[in-house]
Amino acid sequence: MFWIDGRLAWPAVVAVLFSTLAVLAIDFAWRTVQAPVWLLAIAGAGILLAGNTAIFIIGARPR
Amino acid sequence: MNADSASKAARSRILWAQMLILALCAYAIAALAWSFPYPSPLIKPLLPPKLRWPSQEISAWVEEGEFDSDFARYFARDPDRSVPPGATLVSPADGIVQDIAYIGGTTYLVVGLSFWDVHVVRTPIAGTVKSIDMEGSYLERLAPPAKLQEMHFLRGKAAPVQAVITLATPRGDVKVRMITSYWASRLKTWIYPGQKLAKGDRIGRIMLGSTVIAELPGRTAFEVKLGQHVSGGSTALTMH
Repeated sequence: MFWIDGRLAWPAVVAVLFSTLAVLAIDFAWRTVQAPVWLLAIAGAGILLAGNTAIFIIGARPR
Repeated sequence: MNADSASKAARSRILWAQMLILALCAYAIAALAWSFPYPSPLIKPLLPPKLRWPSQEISAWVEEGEFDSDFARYFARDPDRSVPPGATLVSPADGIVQDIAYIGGTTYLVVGLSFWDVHVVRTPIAGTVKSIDMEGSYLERLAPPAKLQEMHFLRGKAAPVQAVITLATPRGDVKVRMITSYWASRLKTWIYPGQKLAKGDRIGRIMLGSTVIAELPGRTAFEVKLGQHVSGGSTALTMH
């Protein structure tokens, strides 16, 4: 699933990139937005879950 | 054969690109974890100074005696200021007005500097430098002089290191008291006795967050309020 014909599967790479950027964005928000930590944690988990799900669904579509 | 080797080379290039992306991601996460709870170097440039260098981090640098070079550059900034014309007094430093007190015929304006304020101290009024006195000096800083212990706004500063600059002005002798803490204990003055200074001129620098006090003879009514942020050399303190 993650290794295709001598290279990595793009959805996996994009998911890692997206997750990293999301974690940096959540860290930035935690430092700058005056919001409770639990709210940021829930929002962050939601963004990670929804984004990664979307990446894998789009990546798995037959072409 | 040629097509096969070409596709092999293309796959290899793609794999290298993918590995590069993953390595950058790993670096970003490692940098974030390494810096935590302080900001990662990747998001630092996006944050305002107070969030970029939190006070706990600066306090730790003070304890260690080693500072981040970016913070040191930021701290050493010395912007030009537009000094208001006329007879108004100007703030001697950047910071929060912590106290305005009238004690024994002298009005004291206490400006508290934070780590993120410009630390260049300026003259509140034009005058001639009469004297530059060091108190609570580098060698004798175990206890402040008794006179200073009585001053309520110095409470909590167990052993302040001070430079007191006395200016002969049309209002009488005006003093600018630069105070730094025991652990910072570094003050610089750039003036000499007899030197004529204009209002808002630079007179020295405090090396770390502390306090500047303007001492004015007689009772002075200030336009600024407690808790207000003032800028050295440019915030007018009085109407006249």
